[in-house]
Parts: sequence; C-alpha cells; structure tokens
Amino acid sequence: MPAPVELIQTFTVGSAGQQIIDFANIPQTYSDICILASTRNSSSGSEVYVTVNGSGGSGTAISNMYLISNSSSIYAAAANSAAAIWQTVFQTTAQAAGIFSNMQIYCPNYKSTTNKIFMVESIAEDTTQTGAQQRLMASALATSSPVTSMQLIAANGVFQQYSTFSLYGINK
Amino acid sequence: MQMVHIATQTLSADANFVFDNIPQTYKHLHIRIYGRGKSAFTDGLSQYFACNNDFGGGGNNYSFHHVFGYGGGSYSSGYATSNNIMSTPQVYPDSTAGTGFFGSTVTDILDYSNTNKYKTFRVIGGWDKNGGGRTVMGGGHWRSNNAITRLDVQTDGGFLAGSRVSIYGVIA
Repeated sequence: MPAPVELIQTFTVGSAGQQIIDFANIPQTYSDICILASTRNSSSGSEVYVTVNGSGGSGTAISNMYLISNSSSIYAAAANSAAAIWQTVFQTTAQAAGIFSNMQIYCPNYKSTTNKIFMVESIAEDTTQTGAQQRLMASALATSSPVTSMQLIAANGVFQQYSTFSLYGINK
Repeated sequence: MQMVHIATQTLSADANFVFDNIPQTYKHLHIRIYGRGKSAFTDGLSQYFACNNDFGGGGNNYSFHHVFGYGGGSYSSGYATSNNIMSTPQVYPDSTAGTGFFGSTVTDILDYSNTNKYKTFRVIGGWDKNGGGRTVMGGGHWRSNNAITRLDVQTDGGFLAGSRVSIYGVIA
C-alpha cells in the first residue's frame, strides 16, 4: 500500500536568491499534488506567479477567483484569461524582517483529462494591520493535458535565502 | 511515508493541551483540532498557541490577522504587535452552544525547526450551532528564530472534555 503523502521534490533558496522555482517532470503516479512554500522576496513590492506546464504552456487558459483580507478590509476579485495563478500573497521587504509567508497550493486530479483546479491558501504576516494579508483562491486551468510541471516565479526581485518550496504527491 | 503522526491528546476532563519535546526531524507541522471551549461568548472562543513556553515573559512576540464569515456577512481583524500569544479568535463554540456542538481547525506551521526565520502560522477553522457560527481563515507569526519544541494549545476557559488535538510531522 503506497504512503498517502510522499515528497516529490524540495528547494531551499541559497544566499544568492532565486527568481524561478521549477518543479519539472512531475511524476504521473499520484492522485493529487500539493505545494507548501515558506517564502520571502527581495523586492518591496512583488508577487509570485504560478505557471503550469511551462511559461507558455498556460497561455490564457487560467482563471482566478480570490477572497482577500488585509485585516482592515475584505474584498473579492476575479481574473479571467490569465497566463498564471497570479497575485498569490507574498512576503516582501515591505513587511517586517524575518517573517516568511505560509502558502499551500493543492491540485486534485492533476493528471486527468478534464480542467484542473488549484486551491490556494496563503498568508503574509506583518507587524502592521495592513501589511498582513490572508488570501483564499480558486484557480482553474482549461486544459486536457496533465500537469507535468509547475513554476513559481518572483515577478520582481528574487526569492530570498531560506525560502523553501516542497512538492508532495498524494495517493488516494 | 512523508507525513507522520507525532501525537494525539483527547481530553477526558476539561483542560488545555501541552505538547512538549516536539521532534525536530520534520520539515513542517500539521495540527488538527476538534474542540469546544468553556467560557461564554456567543461569537465564539479563541484558539491560542504559545511556542516554547513563551507567554510574553521575554517580550510580546506574536502578531495575528484574520477574516471571518458568518450568516450575516464577513469582517476582518488583526493585532499587529505586542501580543503574548498566537490567537485565532471566534473559532470554537462557547459554553452557551447546545450540547455536542464542537468546532474544528487545521493549522500548518512551515519550517517550524528552521533557525533562520520567524514562524508563520496558517489556520482554517469553523463551527456551527444551528443558529450561529463562524468560518475563519487566519494567520500569525511568532517572532523568534528558535525551533519550536513545545506547543501549548489553549482556548478561553479551557477546552471541554472530548476535545482532541493531533500533531503530524511533514517530511521534506
């Protein structure tokens, strides 16, 4: 009987920083996949973009739905026909030093021939009210292709040292 | 196996929880709680985490921010600095709820043993008593580079007997 959760690949960013984290050649042997990321960025204003199956592979086939709170306000938003799961909440140098974000991306049925769904829970923390943010997202990728790779890209700057990214496979 | 059960405590009498000597052999901590508190506050009771017996004696090292939903709408709140414990408010039913109503939370602490970063919590939870309840998404952080070796888990007035906390380690 296979283990229910197995590590596929992990990255820890070194002192030079890293702009792109590439989970390539994702094994097609699990039911679902999940990414856990603890990140911080070198820029004061940046976002992390998540592309699927290569930078051009997503095209404009991704649609995003958000629920966002920054502790002083709540709002919902949508972004259709996008190339990436984007504006994922992200810890930057605008927020207090030493704090890293906490993010989970869950993709069930990632190797199916139907559209893919990505559920994202993410937290950016701070020592101010407005600097912190909670974000709940549902993103759909209109494709019959399996998810074979995922890339997490710092839109500006780089992921800072000690940022970690782990991809897990989940069995039924 | 990449996700390992570390410990479960189920209360046979009203109390709070303490998990000491948390192994340092995992990448992340995953905590599942089934709980109900003993104080009376109809909006719901808080979940509290204290790391390594830090209840503010060495400085108030916690911040936390949340978004709430209930039958009449949504709202958000946050406590940016100088808190002596990590709190997720209104996430468990109180003593005025009917018998047998409990709440549930799932908390992820990424890189809990990493001594190069502060520790960020991501919490999802909720409860309903057929006439009231909350859904809550929250985050928070403990401003310490120390590895988490002990977790105190509390609620207002203490947890009711039957409440349960399970801690899992995620390997990377």
